Amino acid sequence: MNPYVPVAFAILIAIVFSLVFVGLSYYFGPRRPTKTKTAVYECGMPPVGTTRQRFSVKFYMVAVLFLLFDLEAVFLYPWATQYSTLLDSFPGTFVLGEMAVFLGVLFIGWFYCLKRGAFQWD
Amino acid sequence: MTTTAGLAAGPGLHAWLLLAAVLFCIGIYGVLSRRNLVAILCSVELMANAVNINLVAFSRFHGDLLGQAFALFSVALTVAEVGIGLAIVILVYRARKGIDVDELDLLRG
Amino acid sequence: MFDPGELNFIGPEIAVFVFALLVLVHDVMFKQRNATISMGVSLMGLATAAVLNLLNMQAVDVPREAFAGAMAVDGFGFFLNFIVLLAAAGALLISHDFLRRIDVDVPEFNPLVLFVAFGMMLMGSANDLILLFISLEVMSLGVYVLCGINRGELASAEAALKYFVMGAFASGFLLMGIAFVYGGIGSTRISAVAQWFAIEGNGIAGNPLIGVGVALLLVGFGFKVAAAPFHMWTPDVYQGAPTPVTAFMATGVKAAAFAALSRVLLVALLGQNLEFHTALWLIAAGTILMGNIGALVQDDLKRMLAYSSIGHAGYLLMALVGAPAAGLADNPRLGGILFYLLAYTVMTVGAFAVLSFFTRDGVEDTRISRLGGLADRHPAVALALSICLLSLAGVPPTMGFVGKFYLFAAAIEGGAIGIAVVGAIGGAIGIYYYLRPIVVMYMHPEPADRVELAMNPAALGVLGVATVAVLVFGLVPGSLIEVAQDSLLSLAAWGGV
Repeated sequence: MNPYVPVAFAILIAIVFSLVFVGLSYYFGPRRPTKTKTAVYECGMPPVGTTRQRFSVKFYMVAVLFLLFDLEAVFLYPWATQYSTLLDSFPGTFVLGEMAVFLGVLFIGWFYCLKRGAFQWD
Repeated sequence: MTTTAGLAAGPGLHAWLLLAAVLFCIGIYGVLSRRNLVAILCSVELMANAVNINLVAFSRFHGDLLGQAFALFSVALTVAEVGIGLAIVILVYRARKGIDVDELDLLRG
Repeated sequence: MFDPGELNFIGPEIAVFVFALLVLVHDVMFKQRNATISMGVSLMGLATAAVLNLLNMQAVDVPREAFAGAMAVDGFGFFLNFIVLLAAAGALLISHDFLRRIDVDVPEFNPLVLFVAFGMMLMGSANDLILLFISLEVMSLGVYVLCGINRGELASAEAALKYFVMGAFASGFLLMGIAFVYGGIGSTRISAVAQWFAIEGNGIAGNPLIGVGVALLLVGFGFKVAAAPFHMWTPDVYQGAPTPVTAFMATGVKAAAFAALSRVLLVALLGQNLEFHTALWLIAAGTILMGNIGALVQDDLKRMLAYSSIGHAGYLLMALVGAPAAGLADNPRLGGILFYLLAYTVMTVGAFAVLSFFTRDGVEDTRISRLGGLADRHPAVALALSICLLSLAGVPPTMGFVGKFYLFAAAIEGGAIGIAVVGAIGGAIGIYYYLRPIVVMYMHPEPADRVELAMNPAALGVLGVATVAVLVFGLVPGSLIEVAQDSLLSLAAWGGV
């Protein structure tokens, strides 16, 4: 028998059971809606405003800048783990210097963001 | 060609290629059919990630690290691309108060 | 083992990059940036790169690899570097006064142009598909931003958005193509693909992975060089982007993308072109016809030049259809590709320099009817624009004519008579629509609500140099053609055939 057949059964059972129970409670359950009951659940507090509230574009700037600078770690990590191996094939300061160039360019990018006011919250 | 021993334990190469192809096609469909710009951006991202799956699968198949190294570069480039894409979407949103592509018809002819 | 001497080979790229960083730091350092200093330093960077490139060109006689094979150091790359540097310098000079007029004062413009040029230059000499993709993205990401640099203008934002969506879509295809080529042969080196094909029994037919990869690569490049049927974004984007950016896109981006495509087709796939010859033939024919027929009905000169730039991509593809399977030395006329890329850059930058004069209250107005009476008011500008347009149409004795002659010769010598006939039809249509603005300039009266042309020394200088170059190299193309042919033949060093 195909090893995936039990998985298929599990999925099938999950679907059937969830449909059955939702259907049962829908059929038998009493429905007496009040204003409080139909309101959006917001930790017991009365809801304020709509869920589609606008938020400042500053959040977007922070998110994108975080993403960009965070992702540079992708290049740092393999370099750091393989540093000693790299030294075997490239003795001297070359391996260190290469990362210094990379970080230098990154630093200029950071300096640009700073001067353009991307890090200012107000 | 090169060794396939590493793949013996899991699903074969073809399974990964199939997964990548399906994801890639979902991405293409999304770019072509969605009207919301953010959804289009997500679809582009899906296409790029399909390629990464392909690259890593081929890398394992060939038994070298070239594909995985490329996947790292590809991830970084995609993030930069999405960052710029979002900036452009916000630019358009501010100018038009909407991000439905069907409404962008200033330039045509 | 890494040899620090190899850094010389990317000297021009390093120069452009370092100067871009310098300009960036300068531009954001002070509250009130000095636009003239920023422009001067940017141009100095381009000049330094040109000198270094010239030195490299003289120092390297035999094509060689650098950086463990990631980069090909050959005449093809050097020639493209010159084209890119010219395009960037032209765009910067045109932009200087133009940006002030449309009220765009951002510190990012000059550094972005330099970063984009950096990506373009690397693209021309990438021997590794990974390097090719990264440099292509460096170029594209910069150009997306440049398109939308005029933040107050909706057309600019819309152009940026369309270009971004199409560009990111195309990058996805290109990336998938590279992944499949890697899967097929286990390497991403362009020369390694050629060597793999050279082995007896290896071919597209026996390896579906590489077949799919090549097809996806063609689609991706098709978007980037605006070949039919992937050209639909071009007119919108070219029209919406600010004129200097459009000039840069039409020349630099096209040249770099075409150079990368040529390298893939002429090095990696030269012996295999029978397999996808029909596809390339159809793409070339469609591109020529779509571009030229679309240009016929345009009332806006900028949009017309956008359509015609599609047509010009078609002529270049036409020459590639004639690439000989037996080896590049069989068809030296292919050097016309590089010559034409240079000629197209020069004459297009000239035409866009004139277009940049047409602004009204900070908004571009480039309808052909605005050209009325230009010959009476500014006879020299009208004459220069006429020469650039005639060169684009391929009328002798201009650079455009010589280039087009070599492209047709390459196609015919390669046995692609059919596509040459399509090209001739496209050329005939081209003469008609390129003559229209000239007729308006010389025959039509001035529009009633005329605005004074915003002429400025920098853009006039670009126009003058372009016009003189178009005429000089049209009359005595000899040595330049030879350099172009030698540069293209340097690709033969990589082939496995």
